[in-house]
Amino acid sequence: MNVKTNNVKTLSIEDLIIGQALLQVMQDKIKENGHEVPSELATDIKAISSELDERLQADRERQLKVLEMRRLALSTIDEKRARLDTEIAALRGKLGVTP
Amino acid sequence: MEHTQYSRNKLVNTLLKIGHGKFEIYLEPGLLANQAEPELLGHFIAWNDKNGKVRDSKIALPVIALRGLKESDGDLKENAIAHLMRLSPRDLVRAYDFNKTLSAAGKRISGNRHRLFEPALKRYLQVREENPKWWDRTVLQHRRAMKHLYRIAHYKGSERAVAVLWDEQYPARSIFATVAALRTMPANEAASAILNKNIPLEVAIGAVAKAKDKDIVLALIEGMSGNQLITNSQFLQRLGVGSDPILKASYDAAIERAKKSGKVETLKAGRAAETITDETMAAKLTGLQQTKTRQLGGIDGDWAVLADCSGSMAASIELGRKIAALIAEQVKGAVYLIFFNVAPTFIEVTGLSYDQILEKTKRIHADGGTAVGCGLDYLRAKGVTVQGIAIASDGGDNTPPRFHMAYPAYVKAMEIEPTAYLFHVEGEQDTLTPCCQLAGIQLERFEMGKDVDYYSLPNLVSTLRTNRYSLVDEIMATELLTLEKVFAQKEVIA
Repeated sequence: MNVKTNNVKTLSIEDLIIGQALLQVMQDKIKENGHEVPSELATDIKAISSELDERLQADRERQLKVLEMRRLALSTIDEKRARLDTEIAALRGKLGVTP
Repeated sequence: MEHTQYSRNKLVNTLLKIGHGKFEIYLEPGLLANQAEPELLGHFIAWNDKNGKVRDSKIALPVIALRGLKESDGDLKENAIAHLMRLSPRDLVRAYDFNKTLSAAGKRISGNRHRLFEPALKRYLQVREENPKWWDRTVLQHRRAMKHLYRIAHYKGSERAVAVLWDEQYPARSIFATVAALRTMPANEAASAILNKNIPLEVAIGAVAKAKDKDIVLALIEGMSGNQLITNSQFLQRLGVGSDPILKASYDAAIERAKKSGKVETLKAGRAAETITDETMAAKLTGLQQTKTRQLGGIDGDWAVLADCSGSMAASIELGRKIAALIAEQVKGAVYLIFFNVAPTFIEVTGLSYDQILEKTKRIHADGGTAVGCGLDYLRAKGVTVQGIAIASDGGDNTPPRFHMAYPAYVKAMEIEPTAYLFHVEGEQDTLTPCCQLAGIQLERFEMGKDVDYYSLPNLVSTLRTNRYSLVDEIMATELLTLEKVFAQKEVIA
């Protein structure tokens, strides 16, 4: 694992999103000016994007687990249960999982 | 005016530097402050409640402030009692016990204790009874302390309170009934109950059958406060949080919550990070500490930290790094760290974290004589302006250029009079302080002693000012607290 990958692991999801956007803007500008994108920049973007995908996936799975736990205790309160069911279905859709 | 402000600064500095330990360490400075400036102590207690990072001071000082007050100091008495009523039941019992110890030693409260304390305590219990959710959570966490407080207040309590506390009869569907049933529930149901009823970590851990189950660990992390997360990071690491993606995501989310919480103790995260072997978890804790330090705020201007690296001054080297990091994380201006023995080593540390400063200064070692003024002479020669100077040293200023000579030369050349603070560590005879006094240089002194209490350091650093009177003004401007305000608060205090 290189230093950059280590650094990426310590960033929050919010910071990763901002970092990815900034690096992509930089990459686009370089391309616009007709220059070749430095390989370091391409590697950084790849490292951030892959880390972000991994982390968003894990965070969605966490949210799903938490919502399922919350629903379990609400089996008698229909309105709240229905709302949680909607949220759970949406997250399952994003994750591509079936109940 | 000058003399009064100077004395007040000294009193405030003395009160601020007290770290962890027995409550008795607050006694002498607290009584002294109360005798000389009772109003200042009252406002200091109010200011410390909002800004202070050492919990023991929030327990000990109000108890001490009740001593030696006059009949006309009703507002100061109420302020002290009101701050005690903001404590958690456990800390309130500790305050009560400390009060008893002081009274037994002949340092009695002026006025009638029963008239002052007991009605407030009764109200403390009643406002919680009026809000059953609050009362339940308080009892769940502080059962023994709450029983003790009912006894002290000579208050029987509501019918529900009596049933739960004394008869252990728990209302159906109450949190107490849930906790009692946790052990027999399947893990996923227990996790669900912990999450939905927001059962505190320390209660849940003891009540469940399988504390290491992944669902239970997830529910525990989701409900953790910032301080609980920090304190239990090592435990969570052992449970495999660092290697499980979902638990790790939960840990990350909890770190982000902690960054927004006002209750996280500033240096705790950094100290916890030192004990964690999982690099990512440790880095997250370090990041949390940096965020909390930045949130302290309060310091402005450009600063020079003069750190003594003369012979046997290893303690002030480390102290200098910590002070520089705490300032650098709080100010928008520049921060210069200058290590000195008889010559300066200049390092700009603006915006750097402690780890970055440590990396930049790892080859600094203690050796040679002491010329505290050489750092300031260096700044003058380079034309660098600072509004504040923090010195970490034993004050054994024995080689020219000495500070009390370099300071006036700097003031004259730069046409600015920086505030100067000495973070004094044990070592050689302190000649810096008396020489500054003789030269009319106002040097605020924080006594760090032999073992620096790193928990009180952020407290001290956040009070550094480029205007020497602004902290005392800020303290005096903090409103005294009333019982009405405390009991009007409906949310959970503790």
